[in-house]
Amino acid sequence: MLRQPLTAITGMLAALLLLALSGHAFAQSASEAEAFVQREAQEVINALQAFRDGELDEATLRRNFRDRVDQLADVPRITGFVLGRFRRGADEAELEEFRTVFREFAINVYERELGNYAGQTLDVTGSVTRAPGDFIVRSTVRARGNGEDVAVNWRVMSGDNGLRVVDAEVMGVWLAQTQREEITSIIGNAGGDISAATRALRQRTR
Amino acid sequence: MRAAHLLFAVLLAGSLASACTTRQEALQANDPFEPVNRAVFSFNTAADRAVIAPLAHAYRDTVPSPARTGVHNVLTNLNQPVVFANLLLQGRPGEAFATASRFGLNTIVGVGGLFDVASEANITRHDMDFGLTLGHWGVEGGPYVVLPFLGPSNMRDTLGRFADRYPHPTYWVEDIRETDAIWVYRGIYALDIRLQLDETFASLERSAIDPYVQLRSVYRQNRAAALGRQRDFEDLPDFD
Repeated sequence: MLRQPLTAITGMLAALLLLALSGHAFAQSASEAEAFVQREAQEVINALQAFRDGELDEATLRRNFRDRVDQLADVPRITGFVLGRFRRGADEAELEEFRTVFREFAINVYERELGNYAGQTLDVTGSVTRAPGDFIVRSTVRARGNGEDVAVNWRVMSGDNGLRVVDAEVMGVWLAQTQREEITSIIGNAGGDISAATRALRQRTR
Repeated sequence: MRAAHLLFAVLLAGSLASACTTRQEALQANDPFEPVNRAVFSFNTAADRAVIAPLAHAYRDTVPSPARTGVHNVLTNLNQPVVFANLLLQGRPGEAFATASRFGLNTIVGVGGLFDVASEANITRHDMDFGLTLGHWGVEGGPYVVLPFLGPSNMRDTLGRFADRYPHPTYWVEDIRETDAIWVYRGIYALDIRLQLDETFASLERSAIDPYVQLRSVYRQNRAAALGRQRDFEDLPDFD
């Protein structure tokens, strides 16, 4: 019973890795959202494979990741989402500090996972349109060796700058939703103080 | 022994009742017993670091990989009657038949389950338990609980764990059920499952902001997905 949820965590990390490295696009339809995930994920896979083959060093891979993360994932939208009800009425300076630390936390965590997911391939298998500009793109991440394939669903939303991935799901577990539960729990325990979450994230980033 | 069980249950119920939280986030997550759950979570983490993980790593380092795979296959195969029973209870005879076929094939041709010949024959493996069966029948999960050594669960799934003992082959054989052999089986099972979880434990350590809440969230979402409640993506939250 415990195995599946914990296995899902590993899958989530793979999903976020691909999420953070996925590409920039201005498509608005479901088919374009599918193409967006497939095309940009392939770039990530190529980069990971190059890293694995020794053609790309880790520092370059990490630099690419950091250069692209803001323009590829809708970080401000995700940041607002993970704050939940505490976003309303929050002090702008506190919010800005939280945004900075949250992004750094995410980048640091998933950088460490890079080596685990090199060599995997992703196939987009379909999509669902939840609402105009709100899509779920289904995919399968094919594991290397004896590992099992993992189904990954991507929530892709359109915004001012085109499509962006805002969340990823493996085995029923949505990454941003999980992070929101963690962050709002910390803030709630601190009586609504957002800086408590910022401190916790900073501690985890070290 | 039964009196001891009863006493434990009474003490547990008393502890839970006196350790409820009124915090909004915990209640939204259906975790009214968060204070006591966090204490059990801390205990489990400490036990894992001090005893369980070192034993599992010693098992990995001393037993060759093919032997460990064989052990894992046997344990998985032994659980197939549980899966079979639950699939039948859910009215899924086709999948139940496939599971029975797996069990028969792996037990006979696979030498007591050492070899997973059923997978090579493309017979699909299902994961099922009585907690999911109750969920299939419409029973809600109830409050979240963290079980000592066993980890995340809820009231429904905890009940399911007890029920799943009965269709398990180790329960059928009195010489196993009523003797220390059952603890040998449980020990091997614990080592195997801990080793299977090794990388995911490490990922949890690396990625969590609050490991307790992360595991709670992951457990709830995963079980909901296993019940097929997220298939249409209608219940996803707004992002703005």
